[in-house]
Parts: sequence; C-alpha cells; structure tokens
Amino acid sequence: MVPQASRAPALAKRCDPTLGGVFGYYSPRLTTTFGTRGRIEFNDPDLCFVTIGSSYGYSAAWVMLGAKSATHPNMTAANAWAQVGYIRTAPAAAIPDAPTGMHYFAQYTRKCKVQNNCTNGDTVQTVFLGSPRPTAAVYYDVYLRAADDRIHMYADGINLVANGMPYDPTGVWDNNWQCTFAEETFAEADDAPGTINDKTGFNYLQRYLQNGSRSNVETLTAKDPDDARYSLGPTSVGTYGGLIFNAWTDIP
Amino acid sequence: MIATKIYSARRKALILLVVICACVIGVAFRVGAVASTQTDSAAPEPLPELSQSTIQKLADSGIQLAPSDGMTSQHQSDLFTALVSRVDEEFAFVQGVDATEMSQALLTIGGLGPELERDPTKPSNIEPLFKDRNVLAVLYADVELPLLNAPPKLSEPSTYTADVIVFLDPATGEVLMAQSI
Repeated sequence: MVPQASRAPALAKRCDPTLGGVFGYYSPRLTTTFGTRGRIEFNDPDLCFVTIGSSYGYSAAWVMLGAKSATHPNMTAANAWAQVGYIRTAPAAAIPDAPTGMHYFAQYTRKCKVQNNCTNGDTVQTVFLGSPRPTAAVYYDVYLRAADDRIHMYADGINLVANGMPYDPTGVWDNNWQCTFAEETFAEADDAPGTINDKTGFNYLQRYLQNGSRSNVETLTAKDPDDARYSLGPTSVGTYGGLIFNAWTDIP
Repeated sequence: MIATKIYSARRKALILLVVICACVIGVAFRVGAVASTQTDSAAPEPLPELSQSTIQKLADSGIQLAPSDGMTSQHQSDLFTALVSRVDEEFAFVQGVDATEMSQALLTIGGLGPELERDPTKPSNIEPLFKDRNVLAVLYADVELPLLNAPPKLSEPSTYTADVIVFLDPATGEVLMAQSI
C-alpha cells in the first residue's frame, strides 16, 4: 500500500484512460463449475469524468463466469464471459442528489465474439438497470440453468438479461469454467469502490455445481492492481468457512 | 403664397409621417422575423419515432413496446429536452451523443425481474419488473461503452461501440434501464 502522505493531491490525479484497470481474484477453470456467486458490499466511488470523444469514466465491482472459446482455445481475444455487478457511470460532482449514476449491470460476450467471427465491433451486450438502484451489499449470481441451457445473470435476485444469455454455451464455451471477483475502473483518477476506512468486502464466494447446489470457491489467484492508488487485500476464511477479501482505493 | 407654403408643409409632414411609419413597420417586421428565426432555431426538431428495425432488435432481446396514448412527437421532444440533463447525469455514457430516435411507449420485459425460482435445475420464473410501464424510449447511436474483460486480460480497460436504447421515466427523467442493442 502506498503511504497516505506520499499520494498526490486530488487535483493532480490523472484521467488517463490507459491507467485504470481490473484487480481482484480468479479461480481455476473447472469442468465441475456451472456458475458463480458472490456477495459484494456497496460503496459509492467518485469518478474523474474524463472526456474522450464522449464523456466517460466508470467504476465497478462485479462477479464473472468465464471460459475460453471452445473453438479457439488459444485465442485470448475470443474469451467468453458473463458477469454481473454494480457500476457508477457519472461523477459525484454532476449529481446533486446522490446516489444517481449508479446501476446494476450485466455483460456477456456474444456468440460471434467467442467464435471469433464478429463482422463488426458489437462483440458484447450490456444491460444497465437504474431502478431499483444498488444501495447495499447483495448477492450477485451467474449460472447455467439446466431447463433452458442459458446462462442467467442476477443482481440481488433480479434477472438482468431478459431470458438469459441468448445462446447455449455448449460447444461455444470451453467446458472449463472460471469464477472471477473484481473491481474495475476506466481511468487512474476514477476511485474503485471502497476506501481505506470503508473497504469493499467480497464474501460468500461460491461456485454452482451441476446439480444446482453451491460450493465455496477453494482456490483463488490474485490479480493485483496495476495502479498504486488501488489496493487488494489478501484472502482469508470468513466466519461461514469460505474465502473472503477486501478491495479499495487508497483514500480515507 | 402662404396657403401654398402651408400646403407644402402639410405635404412634407404627411410624407415624413408615411416614411416614419414605413420604417417602424419595417423594423418591427424585421425584428419579428429575426425573433421568429431565433425561436425556430432554438426549438428542438422532433426526433423520428423508433424504427421497425429498432423495435425488432428490442423484440429479439425480449423487450416489448406497445403504443402509448397522448404525446405528439413535438411534445416528446420538448419533454426530452427538459429531461436530457438528468439523463446525462444518470447515464453519462450518452453525454454528448445525439439521440436519433424516440417514442413514448408502454414497456414490458417478461424475462427481466426478480427470479421466483431459485433452483437452477428448474425452469426460470420471472416476476416482470416492467409491465406496461409508461416510458420514453430513446435510441442513441454509436455509444462508447466499457468492455469489462475476463482473465487473463485483467489489465487494461477497453471499450466497445454500440447503439444503446435508454428507457426513461417521462415524469422524472430517471433512467429506468439502458441496454446495448
């Protein structure tokens, strides 16, 4: 962690979009994983509000079910995923009656992206739900429903993508599926959810098995933040027996 | 002689009065025309209604829009103009992007909402969050959205570009939902 005294003042923060990024933990890829679940605490990060063509910037915390492509297993660009979480899309300065700019969201890769044959840049689909808004710690679930062979994405029990991901992942996604739990920002000056004094807890980290039951995620590998403003705590065993961790921005 | 002078003076006064009146009318007409031009340029042009292509794309995503009574295109446009700053604050990805289509409609999404069947081995049973909900549906073209990558590319943020439909509460401008299509 960067000592607080050495940090640049707020006005010196950079809105360079190449300096944001993703940090969190991911599991091994397993054929016995059919979904994932995590409970993420809610925090209200600030954004730097960079303007690049259109106004932009975001800060998110999410749970993801991912796999390699079944047909292009060595092409990282063809990775498949379905994820759900919360995202802030507007800076506090523009919001007179916070919290606005805060949404549940879900994103999944279209079939053409996984098969690496999209004809345009429309490679994923994203849904943002503004009503109800995220305001508290809730469970986020992504799992394959056996009855319709579709991956569904839930925020606080709300199915965000109508009728689930619109294709059967069998034969499209590789059979080894992975759970990821992470925070993400667009620019260095975007705050990731959580602060030193109010860290964002990720807990109840679980994976769905084929019979619909859930098992605690046994092993997690860290993807540390690239930027010193952000911190990723170590995993530990929570009171219920599963792994937990914290993530935050190094501000009070 | 005097009579001629008086006549001439009256004539000049009459001509002067006519000229003044003409000038006043001309200026007034000109001001009115300018004002009219300014009003015309300030008034938002009504956007086209959602196209059949857009409606079909939404239907393919499980989103149904039914006609709603009431607003003219101009009324919709005026309403949207009043709400646009709220939209920009709530969903900043569309700030600076021009809306291209708009319709007032009744929104129903049967597959989006609380899941009543929590057992993944059983069929989904959704309680729709939006059922005949009065909305303003606004389409934005070529919006830059976040691409939230999976491992092993957990490093640089990236984006993708897509058309986005935004559903607004017509009374408050609250962004109820947005989706790339």
